[in-house]
Amino acid sequence: MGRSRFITWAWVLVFLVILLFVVCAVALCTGSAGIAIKDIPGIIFHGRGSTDYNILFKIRMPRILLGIATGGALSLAGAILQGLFRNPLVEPYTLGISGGASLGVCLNILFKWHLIMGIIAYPLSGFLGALTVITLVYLISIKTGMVKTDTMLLTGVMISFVCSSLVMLLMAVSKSDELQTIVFWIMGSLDETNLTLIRICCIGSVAGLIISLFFCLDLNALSLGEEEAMNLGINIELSKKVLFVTASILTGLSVSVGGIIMFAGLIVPHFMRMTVGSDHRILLLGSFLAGASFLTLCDVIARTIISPLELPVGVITGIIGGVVFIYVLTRKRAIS
Amino acid sequence: MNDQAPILTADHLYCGYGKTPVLKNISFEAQNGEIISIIGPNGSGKTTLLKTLCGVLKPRQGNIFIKGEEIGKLSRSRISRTVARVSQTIDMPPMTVSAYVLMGRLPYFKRYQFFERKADVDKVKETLGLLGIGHLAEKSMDAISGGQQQLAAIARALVQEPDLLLLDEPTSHLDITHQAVILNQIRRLNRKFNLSVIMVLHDLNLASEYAHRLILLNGKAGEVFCTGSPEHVITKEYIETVYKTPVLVDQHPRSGKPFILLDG
Repeated sequence: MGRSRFITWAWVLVFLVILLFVVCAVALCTGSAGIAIKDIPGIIFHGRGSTDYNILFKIRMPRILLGIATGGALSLAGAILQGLFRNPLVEPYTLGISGGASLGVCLNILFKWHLIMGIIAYPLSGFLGALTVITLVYLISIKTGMVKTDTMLLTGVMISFVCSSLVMLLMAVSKSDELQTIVFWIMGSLDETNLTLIRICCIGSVAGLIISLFFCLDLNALSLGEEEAMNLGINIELSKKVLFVTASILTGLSVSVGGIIMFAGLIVPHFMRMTVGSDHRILLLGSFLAGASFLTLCDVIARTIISPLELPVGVITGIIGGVVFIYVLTRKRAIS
Repeated sequence: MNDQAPILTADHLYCGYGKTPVLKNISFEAQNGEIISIIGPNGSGKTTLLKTLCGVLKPRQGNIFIKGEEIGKLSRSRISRTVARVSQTIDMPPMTVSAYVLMGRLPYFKRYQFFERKADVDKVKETLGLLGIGHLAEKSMDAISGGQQQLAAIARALVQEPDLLLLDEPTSHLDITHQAVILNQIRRLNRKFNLSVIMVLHDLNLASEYAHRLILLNGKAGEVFCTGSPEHVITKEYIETVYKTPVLVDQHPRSGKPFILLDG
């Protein structure tokens, strides 16, 4: 106990940071305009104004930042929710929170709130949608006295269906230009040109990370159950509220900017749990960093695999995540 | 908190989950250094009472005072530094015994504190040694036996450095060896550190043997039937009335405490 564990954690963090840098470098030099990695320093320092410089800083850089922010946010939200619900299959998508956020954003597009409130209407509506669903799922699943994980997952999936049906309803009654916006946005892509939105997303996810880190010990205590956490002196009502709202902000932000990106919040925390254990002091930060690398990498794959065409990044995470989900499910059965 | 005041005072408690309270009008005082056992038939609300006493469950009416201070006015961590509870079923997380026991130090952590101090680690080591499970420190919680898990749970409660320990059936599902190990440990801690203990016990003979005072709950009515020394409470008349089963009451040959046998 003690020192050796902290040293392991420090190495894990160092490794994840290096990994993130490598992935970012790869992402910087992949694309239809091939820029070799050895030319990049020259372009950064001397190439101001050149085409390559513009490609790096106006197209690829914002995209990488967005990948880091949304990937980190979704994985962190997944790790927080898995801790709160004490279930490794929970994540923003399986709980229907992403669905709620997407419904919120669709309403925003349809009713043109962003014309009144400005660009902030996107993340705000996403957050409100996410928060509504998370509250609903929680209330339904604790109604029987304790959190029944099966009920909760089913509830989440059902709410997800209801939300996507409502989104389809909205699409059916919307005009063609709005329809196009919605379809384009739902497909899930990190191709976002609005700098303000990217900034909000980056700041929001880092803020979410900092807030949740203050509650990592509460999450550790909650892994023993709510009553036990109370016995250990945790103010669980406060912790749960803060963590649910944080998870909603993180999900709302990433959904409102990147569309529905499936399973990113499931795979990453799961692998982190397998490698570093379930102590949230390392799990939260580790999931954030690993999620950032994961989504950035998925985005590279999405935009190169059938180049010059681009796949929505949600397709890549959906395929990988679906397989992992089934794997986790079967493994869990085998244990219990 | 006032150290002269009784460690815990229950004042006309009504507690329960749904609309109708499980327990009615419960009043008693636990003195410092006293071992109290709560006994009563299944479903008489023993666990509910224990949960209410440590503030996990809010009483529907009445009040609880810890060292003379109203429980509702104390913060969760303040309560946990004075009262520790070991629940009946322990959800075994996949963590080592030492990491599990270390969680008991959480009430002493500050909001901005993320890592345990050396004093916390020392306290864990000391407590594991005290309970004789020091060699299990690095074992996983789900890889040790039921009795050892119970001891680890008690260790977690003890590192909270409580003045009052609440135990919910600490000997259920355990063989007689482990029953003796656990209850003798509790008696030792009580004598050595003047630790007050309130425990729920199913086994009336163990309750009679180890507790200074018994609180007998009346099943259906949800009230205290009677309270007092084992000699006063464990009588043929009282036990047959509450449990509705014929019994024989004798004396333990060595301790002289009442001893119960089923009669037919």
